Amino acid sequence: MKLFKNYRSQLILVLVLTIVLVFGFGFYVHIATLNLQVIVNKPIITQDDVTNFGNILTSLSRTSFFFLALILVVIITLLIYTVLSLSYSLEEILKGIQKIGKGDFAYQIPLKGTNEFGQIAQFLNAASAQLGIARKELLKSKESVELQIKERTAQLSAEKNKMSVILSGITDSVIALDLKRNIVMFNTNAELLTGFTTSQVMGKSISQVVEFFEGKRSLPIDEYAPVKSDGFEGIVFVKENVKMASVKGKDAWVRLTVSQIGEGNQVNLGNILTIRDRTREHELEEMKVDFVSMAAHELRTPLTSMKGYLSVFMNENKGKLSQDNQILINRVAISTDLLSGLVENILNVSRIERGVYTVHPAPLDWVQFVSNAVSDVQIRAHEKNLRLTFTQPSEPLPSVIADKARIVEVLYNLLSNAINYTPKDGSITVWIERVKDMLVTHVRDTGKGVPKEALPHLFSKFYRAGGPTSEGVKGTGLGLYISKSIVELHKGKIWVESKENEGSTFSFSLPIAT
Amino acid sequence: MEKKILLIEDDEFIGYIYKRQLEKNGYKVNLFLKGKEGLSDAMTNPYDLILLDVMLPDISGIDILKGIKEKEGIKNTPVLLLTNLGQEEVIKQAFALGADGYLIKASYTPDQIVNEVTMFLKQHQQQPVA
Repeated sequence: MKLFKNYRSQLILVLVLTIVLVFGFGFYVHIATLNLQVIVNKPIITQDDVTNFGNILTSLSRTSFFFLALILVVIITLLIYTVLSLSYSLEEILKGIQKIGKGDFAYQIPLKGTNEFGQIAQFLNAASAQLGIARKELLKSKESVELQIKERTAQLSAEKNKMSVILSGITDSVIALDLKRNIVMFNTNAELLTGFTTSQVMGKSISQVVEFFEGKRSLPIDEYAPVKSDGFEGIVFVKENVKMASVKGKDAWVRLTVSQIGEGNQVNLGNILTIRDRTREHELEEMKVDFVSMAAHELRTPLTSMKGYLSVFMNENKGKLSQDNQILINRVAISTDLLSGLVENILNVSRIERGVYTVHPAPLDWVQFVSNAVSDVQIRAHEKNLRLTFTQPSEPLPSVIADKARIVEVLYNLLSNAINYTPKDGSITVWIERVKDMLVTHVRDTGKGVPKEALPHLFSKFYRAGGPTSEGVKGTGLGLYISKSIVELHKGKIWVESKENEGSTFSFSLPIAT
Repeated sequence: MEKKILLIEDDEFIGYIYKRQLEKNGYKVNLFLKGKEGLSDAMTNPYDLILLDVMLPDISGIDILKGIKEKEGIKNTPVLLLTNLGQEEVIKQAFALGADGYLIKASYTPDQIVNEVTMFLKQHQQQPVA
């Protein structure tokens, strides 16, 4: 069948064949015409010539018919062959394309020739084979991706379950907020603490669910749950003794810790609130404060009697007692004073902790006030042979805003400590300086100083550097705690700088009167 | 002429030692351990000074003060409160009702109380009583 390299050469051959036949026919006609001419040009035309002429014409007509028929047959045959072969190739290619289109990449178009359709078929076969390979690979990778997705999904759901089990297991309430401060997570304990169920609060603003109070002040949402866009990760707010009021009517005393994660902005997670229910502890603490306060009140009455009777007894027996007895009674008096100081301090602490310890600050000539306080304790310093000096400021200083009755306790406390903790022949210096809109008062001693490890605890309740009975100096461990509270109620600060064996400098600041 | 002081103090020991020291210094002292009895005594007997404990079990010192200050004839009798530390609120209230001063019991010895009383009466006498 494959006679020709391609359809173009097939057509050219048909054309050439036609031309050759046409020319051959023309040539034959020409020869025949020449023979006729010879006859026609004869001067005399014989009977033979006429017969000859007729024969030639007949032969010409026959041959012409034969030639024309041959030409037609050849052309038509070749054309039919071409058309048939074209239609067969097209059909095969169409069939192949349809099969490939349906995804049968294994199908091969059965056209082997070198002509155009053969080339197309070969190309399509190759492409189809490539597609087949590509599809196989695709299917393979799809399977592996599906497997991976399955694994990941299982991991994620395990992670989620693990998280929710952990969250429901912890005794703190955990509430997560999105960037708009709407609730996106609410654990079991949050449900118990607030009285809401998770489905009731999901998507609601935190302020529609709970409100936090510091004392009487309602904490604004921007204060306890600030939205920071700086990628900060960690705790952004923490406060003890916060009162949490649930809109459901449940109140609790809590410790509120608010954190955020660095990727918060990308995953729309604003804050994570961790709320520890401290209601029970708070009640116990209140009971403790109440008990201490009541006990101290009860102690105070007999103590007042003891002090009163003792002072009358000592006055009426001045010079009448033996030296030995006088020492005994003096020690009773010292102990009574210590005890009554302790009771007063405990009462002050309980007032501070109940928030009922108040100050009534008014303008106060501070330089004069400090100078007087220093003079008042001069005798005690002198008894220990300590040099106590008040350095007058080089320039006139303004008054401060302070409650005389309260702030004098701070001064006496710092001066007493300096006297108590400075060995004989040491020195104590008191001076005042102005720092911006505050007056800072310093009390420096040449005592043994505060051990480094004691410094952070020095202003804590019941803390005594060196243990409860340090160096025979009697004290309650409440003085500096009370002093700190008093100074802070005046919006001032109190601090200490100290090196062991080099002495200490206690300082506190008070706002200047404007 | 010896001055008469009404002392209302529920703690017997404290009441006794104050009375003892005041009498040693020439005052005539009537001590009442019960607030109500003290008040009714104040209504009938004239005094130069009333020393009044503000924390009493049967009736509050504030109520006694009100009773005294509302009664014609005795409302000008000066009243000094006997208080404890940390009773600023009661003291404020008492001053508003017309109390003349206060003495913190824990801060004074009985003799110092006598001194304060003597000083107060001396100053009070110099001022014309309205």
